[in-house]
Amino acid sequence: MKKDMTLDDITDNAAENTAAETVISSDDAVFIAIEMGKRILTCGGEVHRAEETISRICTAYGAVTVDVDAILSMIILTADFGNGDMTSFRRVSDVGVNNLGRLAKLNALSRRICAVKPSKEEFLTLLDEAERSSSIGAVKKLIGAALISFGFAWYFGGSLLDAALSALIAVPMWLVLNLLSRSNMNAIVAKFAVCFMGGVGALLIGRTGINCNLNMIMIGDIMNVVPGVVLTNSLRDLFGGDIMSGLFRLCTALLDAVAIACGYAVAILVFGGAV
Amino acid sequence: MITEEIIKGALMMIAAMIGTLGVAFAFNVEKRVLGWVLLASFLCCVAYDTTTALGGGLFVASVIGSSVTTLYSYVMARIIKTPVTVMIIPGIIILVPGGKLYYTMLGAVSSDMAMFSQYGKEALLVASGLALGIIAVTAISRPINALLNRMLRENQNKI
Repeated sequence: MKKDMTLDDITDNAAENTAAETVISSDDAVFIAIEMGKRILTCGGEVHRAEETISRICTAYGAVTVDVDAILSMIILTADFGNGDMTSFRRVSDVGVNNLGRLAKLNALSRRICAVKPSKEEFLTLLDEAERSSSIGAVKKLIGAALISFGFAWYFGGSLLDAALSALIAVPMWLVLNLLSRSNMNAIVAKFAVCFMGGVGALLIGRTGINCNLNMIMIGDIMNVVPGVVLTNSLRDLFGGDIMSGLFRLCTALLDAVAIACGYAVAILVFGGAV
Repeated sequence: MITEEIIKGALMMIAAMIGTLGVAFAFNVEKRVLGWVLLASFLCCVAYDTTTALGGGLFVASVIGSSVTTLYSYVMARIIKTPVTVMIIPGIIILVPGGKLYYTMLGAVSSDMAMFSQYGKEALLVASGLALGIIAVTAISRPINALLNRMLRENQNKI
């Protein structure tokens, strides 16, 4: 069934394909497809999207059958380019940093690959260009973090002063989180440490006697680390049939939530019930 | 009185937009889709507040809020040609129950079991409503998208 469908798709543009097929080996095609899938997963794309991209690229390069299974930590691809099945595995790491601009760029790139079928070298240049033009500047991230804390501390019922103080604490919190994740610190421990810091910061501000609502300050800062997006995506994966990825994300979200709660909890316990 | 309510609502809206803008920055949303993402968040806010004002509970309001945003995101993603996740994630961020999770934790820390279970249940309700809204729209949009793609391809073949 699947064979027939893919064959149909190929015959549509078989004429244009033949020229490209002679140049690009199936090894390179598999490399390009799986590399794209991996990049899509690491910048926060859905599993479903990664699988579809890999399948499309392989088909564009002339694969007769494509079977791909991706979970968040691994991609398994079996493709037949007319000379027997070849299977490739790829370990995926660093999942969890959302870069939606890069996702959009990669998505556009995958369409382009299907249309022009570049060679491996051309592909690497294109990929490099797409990634370089979509890396997030540290300043932009920092402003983002401050705005999140400001906006949500205000949105959840704080005063403008609470919001400003929340944004003030978000800046060092983000800097430390960035530093810890760069030094390969365990992600859960890093979240715990940063939340402890945020809690202590808010409680210290409370000690100074400024007329502010500590709950609102902490809520604003929590919105920076809260795994709400991960949780939502995990439920989407689960209901969409990607059970493994759904469970993977669910576990990540729960561990993060526990780390965040512990961080703030320890801060509150140490500095007394000043809230 | 009514004008006060409106001003308060407008201020909340501005706060929500600032938060969404922050998320868009942190997640590196492209400039060209930034406006559309803010509009998604705005629609989410309006849908949620309207449902609440009409007497809908937390769960219903978050289902409606997230399904309206997701529907808008699917349509816009097709028009401006961007992955739908780019629209949905910043769009629904205001429904993420950060405040409720915080109070749940606070309840646990201060051994206030009533507070813990109350906010814990509310956070779960909102999160599952949020996911349900997205899932419902996604489930419908996949066959529709496939149909649209097939129609487009047939049209191209005719030409």
